[in-house]
Amino acid sequence: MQVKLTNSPQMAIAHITLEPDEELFAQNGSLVTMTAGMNVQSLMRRSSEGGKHNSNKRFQAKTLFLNNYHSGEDGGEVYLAPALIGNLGYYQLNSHKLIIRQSAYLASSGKIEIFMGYRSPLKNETNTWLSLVGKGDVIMSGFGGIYDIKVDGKYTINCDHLIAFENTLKFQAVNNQPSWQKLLFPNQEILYEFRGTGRILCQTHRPFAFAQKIGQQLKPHNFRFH
Amino acid sequence: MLYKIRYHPAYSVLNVTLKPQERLYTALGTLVSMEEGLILKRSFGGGFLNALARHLLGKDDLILNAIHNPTEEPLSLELSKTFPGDITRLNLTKSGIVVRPQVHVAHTTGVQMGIHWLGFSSWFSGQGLIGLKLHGRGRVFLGSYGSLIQSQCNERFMIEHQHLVAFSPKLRLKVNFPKGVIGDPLAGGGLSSQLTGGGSIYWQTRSLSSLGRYIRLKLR
Repeated sequence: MQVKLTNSPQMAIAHITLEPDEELFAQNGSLVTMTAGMNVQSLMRRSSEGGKHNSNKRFQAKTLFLNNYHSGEDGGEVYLAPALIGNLGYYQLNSHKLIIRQSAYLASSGKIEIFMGYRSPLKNETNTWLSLVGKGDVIMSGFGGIYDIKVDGKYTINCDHLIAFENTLKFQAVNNQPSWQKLLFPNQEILYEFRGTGRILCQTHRPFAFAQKIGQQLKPHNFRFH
Repeated sequence: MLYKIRYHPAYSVLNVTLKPQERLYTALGTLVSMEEGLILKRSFGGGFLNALARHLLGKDDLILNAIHNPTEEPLSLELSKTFPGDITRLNLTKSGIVVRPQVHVAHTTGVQMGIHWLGFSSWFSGQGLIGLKLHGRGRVFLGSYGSLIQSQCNERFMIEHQHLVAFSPKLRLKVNFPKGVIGDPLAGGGLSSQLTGGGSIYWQTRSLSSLGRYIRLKLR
């Protein structure tokens, strides 16, 4: 399997060349073109029983739909594109477990096992995480640019900007504010503090906040004058 | 303070390296990541009463982040903003600058945050009565949706209201409401701002309201 990311960094698309009799998992709805003779199957992954006490069940997704592309005897080519404008990230998975945000997952090679859910140390975890185990290539999509951070020690990251991180890292929410400030200003950024050694992939913009801003524009009172 | 703007111009990220004992004030929600050792605290920009006036009578946030480097070595952090677009550095002059809400990204120490009277026409158009005014000496980083263009106003300047990002406080702002059939909301005639006086104006090349209008037409 060969991965080529073209048109980076703003309108990136992934060109994947498969060898004969090779498998590829990709997120549902990401296919642009593919060669003939490819065998496509849809799969579903379900989250294991809601986690422990600490999962916030209202916000987390329960199912993940995947497409499995199986190349024939001649091999094949697939073009995959994410929904949002932005860059694509590439990660070579070897021995570590990779935790990835569900909306950022685009594709992975067939030898990688995909599990839904991650035992998060946070009480109210609103993001849905996937755990990837195995050996192969992972492609992820981000809103804006993607850059990676090599952590050795501590590092602080805004949780909305986080795409993926290696399982060797431990994280916890930064909690250095007096409680009256939290009560007064609830809509603040949530910061995660990572400890250990490993890699973190980060996106430069927040798709959720951008969608919120557009949603505010769609309210009828915005259309009284303009 | 050293800075670098990456992924320029569509998805700009501001990379700042803070020297020892330096301080940077950033707007809420702009912080992406920062190194170990930097201390983040919340503060009111320009005093509690000014911040409260801007929050209640305008559309600005009540608090902002103050990032401080207490260690002996330079440490770096990344800032970005909600909208795709450019981040521009401005060197403040003595008279200062008035910025629209959600535009301000960061400023250095020496820049003071004050209030500016925008006028009742701005209030009736839903854009707030009191705006944020930055004055003093230092650097200001502004984030725009699209790229940022500077124009010089000599006497009179007309601009679509959503495209306006910042202007010099010497200018007087007046929002004109659309009139008659042509100014009907369905025709897409927006609010136009009229600025009178002499000074510089900064405007952005895209506006969020036109994107919202486009999506709303598709939803019908």
